[in-house]
Amino acid sequence: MENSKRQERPVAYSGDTAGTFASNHVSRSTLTWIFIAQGFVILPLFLFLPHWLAVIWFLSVIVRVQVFRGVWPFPGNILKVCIGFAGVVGLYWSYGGRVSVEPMIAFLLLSFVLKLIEVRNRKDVLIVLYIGFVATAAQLLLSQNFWMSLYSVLSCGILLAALQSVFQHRKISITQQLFNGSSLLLQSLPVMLILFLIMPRLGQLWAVPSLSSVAKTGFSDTMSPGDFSRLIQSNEIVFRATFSNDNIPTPRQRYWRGLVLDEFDGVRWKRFGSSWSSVSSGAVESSNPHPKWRLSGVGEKGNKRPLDQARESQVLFEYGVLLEPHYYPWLFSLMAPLEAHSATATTVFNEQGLLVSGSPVTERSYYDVVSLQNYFYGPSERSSRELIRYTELPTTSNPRARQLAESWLIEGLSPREIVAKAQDLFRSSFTYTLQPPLLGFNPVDDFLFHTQRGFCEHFSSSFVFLMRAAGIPARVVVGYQGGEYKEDGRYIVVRQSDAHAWSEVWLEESGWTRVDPTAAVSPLRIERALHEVVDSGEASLVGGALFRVEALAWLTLAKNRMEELEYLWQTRVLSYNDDVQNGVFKRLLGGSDPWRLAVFFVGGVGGLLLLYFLINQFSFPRKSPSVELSLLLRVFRQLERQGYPRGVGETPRAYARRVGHALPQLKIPLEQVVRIYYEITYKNRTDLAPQYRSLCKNMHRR
Amino acid sequence: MNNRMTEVFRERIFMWVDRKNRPSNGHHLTRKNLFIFPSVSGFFLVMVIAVLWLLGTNYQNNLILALAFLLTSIFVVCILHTHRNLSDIRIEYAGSTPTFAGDEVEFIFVLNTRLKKTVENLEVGWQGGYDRVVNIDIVGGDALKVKIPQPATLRGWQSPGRLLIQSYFPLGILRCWTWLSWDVRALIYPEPVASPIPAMSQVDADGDGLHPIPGGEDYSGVRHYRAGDSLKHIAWKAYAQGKGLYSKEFSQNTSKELWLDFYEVPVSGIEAKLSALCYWALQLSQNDEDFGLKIPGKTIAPGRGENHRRQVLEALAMCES
Repeated sequence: MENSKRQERPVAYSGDTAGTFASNHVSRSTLTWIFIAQGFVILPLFLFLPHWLAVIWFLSVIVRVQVFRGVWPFPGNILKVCIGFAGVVGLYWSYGGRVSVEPMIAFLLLSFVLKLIEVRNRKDVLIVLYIGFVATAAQLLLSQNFWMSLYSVLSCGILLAALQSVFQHRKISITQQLFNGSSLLLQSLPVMLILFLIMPRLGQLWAVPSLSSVAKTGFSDTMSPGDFSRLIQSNEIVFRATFSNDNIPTPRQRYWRGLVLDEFDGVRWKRFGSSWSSVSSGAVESSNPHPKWRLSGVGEKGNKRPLDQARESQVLFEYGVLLEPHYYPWLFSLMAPLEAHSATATTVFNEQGLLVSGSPVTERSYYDVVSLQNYFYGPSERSSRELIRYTELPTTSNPRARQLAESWLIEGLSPREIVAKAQDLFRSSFTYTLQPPLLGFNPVDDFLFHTQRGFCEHFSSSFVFLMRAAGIPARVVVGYQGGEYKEDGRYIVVRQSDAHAWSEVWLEESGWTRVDPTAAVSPLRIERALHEVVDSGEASLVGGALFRVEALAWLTLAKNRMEELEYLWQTRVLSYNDDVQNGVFKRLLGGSDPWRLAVFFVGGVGGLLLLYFLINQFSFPRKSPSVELSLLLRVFRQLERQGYPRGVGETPRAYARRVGHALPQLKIPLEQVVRIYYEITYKNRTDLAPQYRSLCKNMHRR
Repeated sequence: MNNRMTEVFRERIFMWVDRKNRPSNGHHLTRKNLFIFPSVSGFFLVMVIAVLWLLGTNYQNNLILALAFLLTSIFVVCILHTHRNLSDIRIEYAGSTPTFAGDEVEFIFVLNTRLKKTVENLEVGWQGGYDRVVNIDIVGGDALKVKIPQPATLRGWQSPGRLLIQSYFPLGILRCWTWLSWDVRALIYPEPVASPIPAMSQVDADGDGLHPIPGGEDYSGVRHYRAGDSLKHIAWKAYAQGKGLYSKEFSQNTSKELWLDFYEVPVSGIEAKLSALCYWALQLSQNDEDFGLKIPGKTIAPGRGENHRRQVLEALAMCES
């Protein structure tokens, strides 16, 4: 009865959709979905890979569409081999035969795209779409920032939608299909998060080819004219430093040392032996200061104190640095580093008081440093052999600067007075500008006596020249100065536009001492951000100039928000490793024993399943049957247990008649029960209810 | 040897399956009779997940690891989806179409879901290698009539065997299926084969028998035109008068009744004889003539009409000798 009321719609007949062909057929909508999903997934890869691959993709799409329309046949095996071979040759030509990650990803992409041509049946479609997930992973390998991650989540949603479309031959709108895909994605997120939290992290299982350098940013190991103006124009973030104790360095103290340049060839400064010795030569592990530094603390009266005493009584900076990849080995730290640790990179201290990584920083790295604020650093004897090379200069160039320095020596000034004299000189008549005039063959002379306009690189280089000419050991230090302090996150953001060069001189009474000649010329440069210091005409030369235009304030705000989000992403998600995991377990479960994890996992997944079950229960509330109906159903259930199942849509009366036929001894009471049930329900004879109840009970006893 | 082992194994599995799904007129798909297992492409996806995990571990890339975990999680969630797609479907037998051997018999089922869900991409077919799978969707709360064809090779009662219902929805990584046994059978008529039957009818010398057979010389009347009637016999005069299309009937009376006799069919073999009888029974029915049937163990008196035809065909189908 129930069935006949419903409209029965015959849809499928043997003739129209039968046969395995129907199951394997690649329909127009499926094909469209493959194109959409594949295009979406591979789009960001073209930022890193040769662009001709995009052309190949486009051609593959055309070929496949023509095949679908029946204009062209499927390409034969020979043709396919030829196309594949041509593609491989193209890759070899693009990458010059290098074996690294990019050519491999490009190869994957090539096969991914070419597979499109020979998609014949459902199995091929599935393979293409599954490889789509690998392509998404490749994109994450090349770029891991927050927005790319978000993009890859979208890619997954689209791939899932495409996969579902393969198994649906109803007409479904694209938005509905996308909704289906993303809801599947959302439902999977909880289990994924649990897995992400608890799955053990293993180290590298075997050595893999590293990502080759994309583009080096930041300092090279030489300082030649023009380097800094290039850096200053960039608003890119170099690193962020989060301070764990209450000690935040004042702007004056924010000198992030990166590299020491100690050799001058007349034009440029470079690292001693930069061409042959690595920056980490003579380095020791960074759990203790390098013995050659002869580092000690400084007491209140300026006297030296043993290091361990100083550590206990003095103010320390404790901070973690999240460094963007710059493809050089140097790391940045405040003076004087006492120890540094990193889970992702090997950190060492070299002889010049620098923190260095064992290999170039090719991915975002995180390291913790403890730095001492007041220190004595360097040999205590002027005659020490290691100081000699810090007084060397090319013999012929820049005669006037030499003369000046010698005149100071003749006057009989002490080294400290000479330093003060040189700073006075800069302070008196020099100008800080980002647009310095060009210098000639004797750049130091030209700068000191003619142009007198320049920025940190000119000041530090000419200052160190003067010091060396006066016999004082001196060197140029490059790194970053300042950085923007974010109050809410307790971290400092340092950008390329904070790039700075200053100098260190060796003085008998205080060892290596930082002297910043730029501070003498433009004290504000040290206190404030660069763009606030230079005049309005030059402000546009500093990185991020666009964002400082008043009308675009919201853009600045949005950009800041984005950067904060990115930072959270970096620290919370990307740097989630074994240690952090253990920490999370300790906090969450009180330990990381296997049984705790098992309980957590089983409890978590089981809990989710329970939730699913409950949601199902609540979203399809069963109508609670009336008392009479439930009594009747109980009787029926008993009969069903005896082997008389009730058919779908079989009315109680018909059922009673059928069962009564089979079990004659039940015929009369059963039909009576049903009859009274009808009387009560449809004729509203509530007076029969007691009789009905006792009848049902009698039935139960049988 | 190996082959026999798998054969025995299969046998065992189906014994177990049949114990779970007793032959019946209707089935309800529930947890108890649905099976679920990763499909071949599902194992391929597991491979992809393993590759991603290795990639993520070797490059210490948390995001790729997260992607691997996401796919794993999708796999888990997909189990629920695939199962839910098939569960709570009711499927009932609704009859079969009359069929001749050598043709395809269609078993008709009514599928419905009580829930508001839509069942996607169900593949329904008979177990046993027939390449005839019906792909269907059931819109929520609706009932759907499906014809599932099976080759009919032999006349007589045919039991359809196990019905395979499966679905790979939504992602193709899991297959959820069931084998349902049915307490039903369809009657297959013999294959009609054209062959001559001599002395099938005899014209009486007197010319006045009881049963006219068409095609004689005497004009016997007009009747409504039926497709296939010869143009020569159309009563054009009546048509011209606007009375409609009629055929003129000519007949000769036969003295004897028309009998299709099993023992007089001039072909050898029981099945061949039955096929010939079937052919002639169909022919005669089409021509709307009276005829009787004599086969071993059964005799059907002459008659005509749809009921008579069915009776004859059923007798032929069930003839046991």
